Amino acid sequence: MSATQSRAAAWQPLSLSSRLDATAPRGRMVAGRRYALFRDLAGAPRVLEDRCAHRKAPLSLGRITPEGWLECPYHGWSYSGENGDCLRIPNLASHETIPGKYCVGHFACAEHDGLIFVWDGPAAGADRSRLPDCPVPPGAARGEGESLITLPWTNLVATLLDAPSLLLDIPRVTLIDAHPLGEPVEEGGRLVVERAADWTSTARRRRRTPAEYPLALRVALTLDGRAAVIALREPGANRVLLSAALHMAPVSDCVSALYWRWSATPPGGKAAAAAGKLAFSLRPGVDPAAMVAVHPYVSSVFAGRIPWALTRPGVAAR
Amino acid sequence: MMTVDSSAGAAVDKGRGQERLGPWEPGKYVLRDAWFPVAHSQAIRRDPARRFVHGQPFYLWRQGERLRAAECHPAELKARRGEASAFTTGGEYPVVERYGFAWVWYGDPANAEADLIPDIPFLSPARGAPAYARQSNYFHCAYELVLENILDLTHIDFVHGNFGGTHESEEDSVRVESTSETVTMVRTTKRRPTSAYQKTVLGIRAPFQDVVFFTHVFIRSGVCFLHAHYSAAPSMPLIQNNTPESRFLTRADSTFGVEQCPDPYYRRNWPGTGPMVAAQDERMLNPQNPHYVLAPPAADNNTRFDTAGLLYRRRHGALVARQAAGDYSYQADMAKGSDIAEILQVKRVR
Repeated sequence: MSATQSRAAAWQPLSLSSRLDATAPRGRMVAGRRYALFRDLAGAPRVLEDRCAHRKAPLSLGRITPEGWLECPYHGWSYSGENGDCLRIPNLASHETIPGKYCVGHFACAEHDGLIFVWDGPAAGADRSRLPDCPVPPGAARGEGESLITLPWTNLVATLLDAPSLLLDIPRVTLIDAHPLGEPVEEGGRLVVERAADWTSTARRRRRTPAEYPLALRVALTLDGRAAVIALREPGANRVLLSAALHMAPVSDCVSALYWRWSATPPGGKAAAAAGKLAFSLRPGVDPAAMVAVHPYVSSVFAGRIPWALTRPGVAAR
Repeated sequence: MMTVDSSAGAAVDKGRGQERLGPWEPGKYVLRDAWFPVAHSQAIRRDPARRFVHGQPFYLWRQGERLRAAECHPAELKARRGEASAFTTGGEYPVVERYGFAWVWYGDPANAEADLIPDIPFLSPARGAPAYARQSNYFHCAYELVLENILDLTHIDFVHGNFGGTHESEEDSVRVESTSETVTMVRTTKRRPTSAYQKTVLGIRAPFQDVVFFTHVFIRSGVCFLHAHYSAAPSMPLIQNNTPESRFLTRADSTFGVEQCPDPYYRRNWPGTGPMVAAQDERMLNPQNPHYVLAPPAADNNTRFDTAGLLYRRRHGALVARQAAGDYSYQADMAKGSDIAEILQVKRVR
């Protein structure tokens, strides 16, 4: 499915909460549609169509007025974040009123788990129970980030399932995509795949293949493909070292947006020195040669389960 | 001549006339049979300069004293004469050098009368302007959007407030006139706050000024004249060519009429605002363009402050309709003898 083709409405991530302050709007695009995102006087996030009703200029380049409205940078038309109505046109005489049809599209939005989401269908259909449930547990170290990647959303999700090392950057940890731990399964409404991982410092010193690797990376993807909970575990100690929530949205046909939040708890014992410096981020791009070498096993197993999936030769799920 | 005064209590919703024409679709129609000043004279040398008008290529070069314009590189001209388009004679376009520009004819060469080149009273017909008075800017949009922007004076308050002052004038009135080929707007403001640029860079001390803004647009070619009279500051007019190279790029070569300005410091410095003002407009025009050129047509909402732009849309639509019916002629109101110097309040340069 093309990112800009029609599909069912969904909650789409638009911004990390921390990146949207009360001073300036942000412009975002999801599935080819442009949004202007800002906070009103009460600090509540608001999302409007990023196209002024007057001359189609981008509202996201405008400013937030003292009343908490969004003002177009071109001619100063100001809009309510609540309903998209145009509330002010500069220079109008006192007897002149603004026709009710002078408005821009407005969208339901929600601030949830450190992100701001927009419901990309009619506001009346927004269902908060469908917000992704990907909380990040407290940890000694925490972080978050957002980026764009030149990869269609469907390929992005498939790559996360088939070769997470091409996307995820966990310093000091080597992800071993080709070493699955069991079969991919559907579990608790998520598509779950687990793979081996190694401490990079240990991996460099190894002279023979280990009987088992010290780490495992677990990716649990929501059925709509928009979010995943990622955990780096020490299977032997049954301990989670790092947890991350990753949200993915189509931007255009060839670009996707990534938002992530993570926390880590350094373990005791001999791995403490390395694990104490754990971090999590997304790589800025995908190595094309590595991409060509990927075997799409996991995405093929899930192909019949996930309606958004790429066309795959098809491998029967167990 | 049609005249509209937008200051007299008109209704807010002025879009109904436009809706009768259908949604505004910049870039959809091509207006032909006009002179386009595609390059500063100084930009044309022995090696050809390449320009476009509505996607049609123009190569311009000098051969001795002669200025030539062709649709292919001169090295290929002889070999490609057989493929020459109907807008050329054997591959070459009519071309005239005047007011420091090379003017090319885009249309049937048989209709290329040099008298149809606009009269520019503030520039010398025979001399080019000094380098500091000339510049080239680009707008990444269809030229119709640039012309609307130029006729849209209220955006100055928001987009160019640092150069033009803010909108807090005591009085503000707009008069718009048009012919079948031009739209002219005169905006008169009283006690308008002096702009930050005039205060800090040009040293103007008066906190308020009376300002009269002039805009004169040629619909077919996109050529426009811009001028402002400030009661407490010097000023000078300019021509901006707004050549529609494609639906995605408008070339804005401009020349300031520096001979109109007696203050040498101002004469040198005011043209420097050109690229800054252009960058401010580009920030709006660039994202506007795909909404008009790529997206399905959608109606705009309007106020009485859009009167000049809407009049331009109507006049543009009338020209499109005439040309669609095969009529490329100029009507009597093109007024070859008209003197815009009077409206712009400039002295004529010989």
